[in-house]
Amino acid sequence: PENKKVTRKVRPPLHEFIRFLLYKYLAEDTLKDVLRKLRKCPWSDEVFVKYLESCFVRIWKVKEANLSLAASLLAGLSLVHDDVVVRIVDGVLEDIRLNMEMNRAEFSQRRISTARFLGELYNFELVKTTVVFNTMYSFIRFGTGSQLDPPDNYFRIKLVCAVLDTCGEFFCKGKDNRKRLEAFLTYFQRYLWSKIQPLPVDTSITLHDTLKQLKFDVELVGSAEEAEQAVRDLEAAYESQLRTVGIVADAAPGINDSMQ
Amino acid sequence: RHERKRRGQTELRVVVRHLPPLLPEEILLRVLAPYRDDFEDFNFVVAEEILPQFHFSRAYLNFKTHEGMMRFAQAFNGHLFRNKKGEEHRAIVELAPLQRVPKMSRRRDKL
Repeated sequence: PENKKVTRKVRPPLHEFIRFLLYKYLAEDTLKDVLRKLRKCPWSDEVFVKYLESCFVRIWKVKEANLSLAASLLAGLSLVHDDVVVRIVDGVLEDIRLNMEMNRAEFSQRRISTARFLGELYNFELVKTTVVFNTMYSFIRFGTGSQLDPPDNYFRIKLVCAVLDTCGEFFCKGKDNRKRLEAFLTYFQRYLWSKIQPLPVDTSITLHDTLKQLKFDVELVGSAEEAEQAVRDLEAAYESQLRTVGIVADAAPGINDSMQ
Repeated sequence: RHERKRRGQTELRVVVRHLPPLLPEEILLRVLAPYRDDFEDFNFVVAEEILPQFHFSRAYLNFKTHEGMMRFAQAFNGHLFRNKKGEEHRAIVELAPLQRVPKMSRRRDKL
């Protein structure tokens, strides 16, 4: 039989070098070295910067255990090249969104990686709490019920868990964060009950591991009606709070409302 | 930025998504010309073929005022781009998920 020739993409040496640093060489004990080498790269070269950005956006190519190291690299780089770091984070968030709009099963593993990476970006203070929560809310809201997230598809639950697994512990600290987490979990449970029950075993295991790890005594509600009621209670409480503070309850139409 | 905070409107960064992947930056800037006075920073990201057949260019705009931003969003959301082959792309205007503006360090990296 004919030998199949493996065609290898030919890349410029500098590109190969970046790939080597991020996808192979990066490890706990080489972190400082990688950062040093990256800082020495030609940052005035637009092609290099573009390539570096796209390497970081394709974060699923980084070994799973190294996601936090990659985030740490970005934190280090943000001291001198914050504009590049902002573009990378933009790219990561866009990738999360675009994948929700496309929803293809073959990219599931990538999407989990990216969701974890978002959590790590939070751990290194490259994104704020709001960004993480907005993303998690988008997981349980964007296109739910439609073909992008049908009731018999449980993947988004895993995405939420991936984020909470990586940075959830910080949401248990501090009063404000706890409140936000509590509110999110209330909505999340309503989302869980919107799925066809029972949840598949693997999803259910992931979910319980995540909640257990949060060390946060949330009682899971037992039915769709209870979940719905919990959301209503929460919203009523918020509304009365807003009234006592004197903020007008009917919010001005936001920019994102206009497009739905 | 302090001024923005005082007015309680910190969210002024907008992303225009789903732009045609081959759209040149100059053409986009020409389309955006009527709003040019309303935004200060412009950051164009060319589509990358990460997801097969599902990649678009996008642009980030930092607006000066909330009013200017809303005016732009209402006018430009759903803007139709049609290329010579007749392929259509509808732009989506959204609040950028990341509102951070890069800190430009004046230091050069001394490494």
